[in-house]
Amino acid sequence: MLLLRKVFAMCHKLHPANAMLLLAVLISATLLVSHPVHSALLVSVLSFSVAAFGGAGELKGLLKFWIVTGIMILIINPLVSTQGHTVLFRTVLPIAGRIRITVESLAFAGLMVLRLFSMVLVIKLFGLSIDRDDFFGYLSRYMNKLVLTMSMTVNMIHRLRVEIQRVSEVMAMRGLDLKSGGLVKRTRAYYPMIKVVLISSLEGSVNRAEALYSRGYGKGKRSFYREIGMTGKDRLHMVALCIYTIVFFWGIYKGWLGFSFFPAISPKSDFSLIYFVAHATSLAVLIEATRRCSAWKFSTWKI
Amino acid sequence: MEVFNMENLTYHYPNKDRPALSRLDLKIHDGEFLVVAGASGSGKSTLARIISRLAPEFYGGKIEGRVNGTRDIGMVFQDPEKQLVMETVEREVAFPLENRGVERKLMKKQVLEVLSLLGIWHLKDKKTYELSGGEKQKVAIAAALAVRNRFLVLDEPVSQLDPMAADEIMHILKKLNDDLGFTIVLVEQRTEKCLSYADRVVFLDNGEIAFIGKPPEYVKWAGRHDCNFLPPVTELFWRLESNNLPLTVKQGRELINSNYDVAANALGKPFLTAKSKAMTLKKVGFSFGDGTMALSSVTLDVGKGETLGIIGANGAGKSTALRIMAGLLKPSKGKAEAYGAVGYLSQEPNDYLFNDTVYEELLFTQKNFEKIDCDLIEEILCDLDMESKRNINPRDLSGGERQRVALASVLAMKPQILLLDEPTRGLNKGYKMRLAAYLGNLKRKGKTIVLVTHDMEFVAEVCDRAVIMFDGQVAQEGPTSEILSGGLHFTTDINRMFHGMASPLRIEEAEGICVKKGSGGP
Repeated sequence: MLLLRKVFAMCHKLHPANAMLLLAVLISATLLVSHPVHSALLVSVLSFSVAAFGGAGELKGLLKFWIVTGIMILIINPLVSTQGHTVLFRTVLPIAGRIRITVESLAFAGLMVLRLFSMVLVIKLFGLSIDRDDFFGYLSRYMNKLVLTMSMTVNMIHRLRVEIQRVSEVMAMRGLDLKSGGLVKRTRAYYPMIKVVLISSLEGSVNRAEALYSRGYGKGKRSFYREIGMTGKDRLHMVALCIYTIVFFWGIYKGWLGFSFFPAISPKSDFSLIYFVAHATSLAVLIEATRRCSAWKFSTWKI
Repeated sequence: MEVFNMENLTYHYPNKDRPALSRLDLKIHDGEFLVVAGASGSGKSTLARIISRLAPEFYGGKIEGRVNGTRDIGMVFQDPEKQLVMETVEREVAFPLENRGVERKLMKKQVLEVLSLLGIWHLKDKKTYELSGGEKQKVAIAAALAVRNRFLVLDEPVSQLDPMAADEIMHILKKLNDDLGFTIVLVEQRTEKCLSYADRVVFLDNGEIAFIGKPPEYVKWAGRHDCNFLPPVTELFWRLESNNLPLTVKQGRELINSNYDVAANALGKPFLTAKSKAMTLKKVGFSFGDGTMALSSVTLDVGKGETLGIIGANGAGKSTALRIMAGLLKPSKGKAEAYGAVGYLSQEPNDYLFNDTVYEELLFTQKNFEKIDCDLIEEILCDLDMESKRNINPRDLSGGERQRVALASVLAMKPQILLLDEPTRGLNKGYKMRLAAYLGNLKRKGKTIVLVTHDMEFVAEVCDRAVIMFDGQVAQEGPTSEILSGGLHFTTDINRMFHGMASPLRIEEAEGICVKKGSGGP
C-alpha cells in the first residue's frame, strides 16, 4: 500500500501524454480482456490506486453505486441471456416467457459487473492523476475550441452540483415531493427542478460567453502559459508504460487473456498462468520505474 | 487627457424597438474614477458594455452616434460565479494573456505581479470554484489587470458580496485609481459604498443621462429627485436641510459636532417578549460531511409574531442555522422544532422561477400543497405590487421583481413562519424599503419572520430582535437596538456616525435627536 502510495503520489501530475496513454491502456485492459481473474486483479489494483490518490472517501460512494448496479446486472443479465450448458433454474413466466438461468450467464454477468467498476475506477483515477489545466492546456495546442468547451464543462459540473442541491431544497420547501411515488411520479416531480437548472444554465452560458469574449478569447493566435515538456521522470514512466502496453497487447494477440463463457466456462489458452506472471512483472517494472524516478520527492519515506 | 468619448450615442439591442441608451454624450478622462448610478433597467450595464465594446461587438444590435476609445479595457462582471472559466487561480489570471499571444516569460511575470498587487498570491494554486465570492471577484479583477489594461469597467462587482468582501474590493479599486492612475468606471446602484471614491457620477434614467457631475453636486441633485440613491448618512443631512451634504461617516460626524446638538435618544423601538414560541433550537450542533463543524450547541427561541435577524460574518453558521430551522438539514446534535408551517426564501430568487407567468408560479406552490386559493394569490400579488406583472414570464423581470415573485411563491403556501436568507442581496434602497414595508405587513398579520442578512440597515428597519453568530455559536442575542448600538462592525452607518453621542440606528431616529445649534432646541 505504501509502495502504491508513493508511486501514485508521484503520478499526481502526470504528463498529459503519459496520462492519455495510461487511460487508453487501462480502458483497453478493462474492455478487451474477458479473463475474470485479470478483471478482478485490475479492479483491486485500481481501487488501491484511487485510495492512494486520496480518493478513499469517494471510493465508498463508488462502491455503493457498484453494489446497486452490480446486483441489477446480476439479476437482469441471466434473465436476458439464456445461453450456457449448466442450467441452474428453469421456469415459464407470463410476459417474460421461458426463463433459463445458467451458471455461464451468471458468470458472464459477474464479469460485466467487474468491467463496469473497472471503467468507473479508471475514469476516477484519470481525474485524480492529472492537472486539468495542464492537460487541457496541452491538448489545446491541437484542438483549441473543443478543449475550451471541455474545460468549461468540467468547471460547470461542480457548479451544477451545487445548483441542483440548492434548487431541490427550494422545490422541497415549495411542497414538491421528490422522494415518494413510482418512477413516473418521481420523474414528473423532477421536471420543475431540471427546468430551473436548465434555464439558469442557459442564462449562465451567455454570461460565460460574454466573459470569454471580454478576455480576448478567439481574437488571435494564442500562447501557452505553461511549458509542458517531458522530463526524465516522464520519459521513464513512458518507457515503463510502453513495456506494460506491449506485454498486455502481446497477451491479447496470443489469446492468453482470452476466456470463454459460452457454451461452457473455460480459459482459451493453456498458457494463461505463465502470461499472468509476465503481466504482473511488467506492472512491477512500471511501478518500480516510477518509484525510482520519483524517489527524491519522498526521500524521507521508508518502506 | 481623454481616453473615451461618445457623442450622441443611441443603442438598440437586437430585435428591440426601444433603445437601451438614447442620445448619450460622455467623456472619460485618464485616471478618472467614474460612478454610473441609476435604477434597475436604466441602462447602466448597457453603458458599461458600450464602453468596453462588448456592445455591439458581442451583442450585436444597432448603434448610432460616435464612439472613440484610445485604450484597451478590462471588464469585470456582476456575478463572480459566471465569469471564471479555468480551474486554478493562476491559470485563470493567465487566460487573457494566453488569448493575446503574450510571450511565456512575460506572462509569468505579469501573472505573479498582479497576484501580489491584489494580495491574492496565497490563492495561486486554489481551485476557482472553491473560492469565496469576494475572492472570485478579486481573481476576476486580477485577470482584467494582467493584460495591463489601465482602464477597468466594473458592472456592480460588489452587489453579490457581503459587506466585508465589498469593502475589500472597493479598497482595491481605490488603490488602483489613486496609486497607479487606473481609469475606473464603476456601475453601482448602491452609492453608499463608492460615492466618496468617485471623481464624477453619471446617473442614468430610462437610457438617458439624467445627471453628470461631481459627487457633492450629485447628492444635492439626488436629494431633490430620489433619496433612494443617497447614502444613509447623506440622506439624514438632506432631511435636516443642511447646506453641507457629507459623503462619508467621518464627514457626517464632523458636521454633527460642529453644527448640531444631539439629544440622548431612547433605545429604538420598544420590544415586547412573545408569549408563545414559533420555533426553538435546543443545543443544536451540525457538522458537514467532511467533518467541518458549522454549528455548535446553538440554543435559540423565536417568539410567535416576532421578526428576528441573524447576523454575523461569513462562515459563522447563519445560513446553516436557517436551513436547520427550515428542516432542510438535520441537526447532528440537539433538537430543532417549528410550531407552524415554514416557508423558506433562499438567496437566489432564480431558483424559484420556471413557470411561464408570475401567476402560474404562485399556483404551482399551492398545487403542490393541494390548497388552491385564487383569492390568496390575488391578495399576495396586490400586496407585493405585482398585479401588472401577473402574465409576464418571471425570468423577464428585473432582479428586484424576481425577488418579489420568489417571495410571493413562498407566501402562496400560507406559511406561519417565514425564513429569509439574504433577502436584500442585490436590491437597491427603493426595493429594500418596499420589502421592509411588506414584511411589516406580514408581521401585523401575525407571521413570524427570521432573516439572515449582512444588511444592518435592514435589520434595524425590520427586526425586533437580533442574534449575532460567531464560529457556529450564538455570540449575543437581544432587542435589535441593544445588539446594534455601539457596535464596531455589526451596526448601521448612522449609529457609527453618532458613536459616543447617542445611539440611533435609523435615519428617522437620528433626525429626531438632531437640533441645529442656535435654533433654540426641540
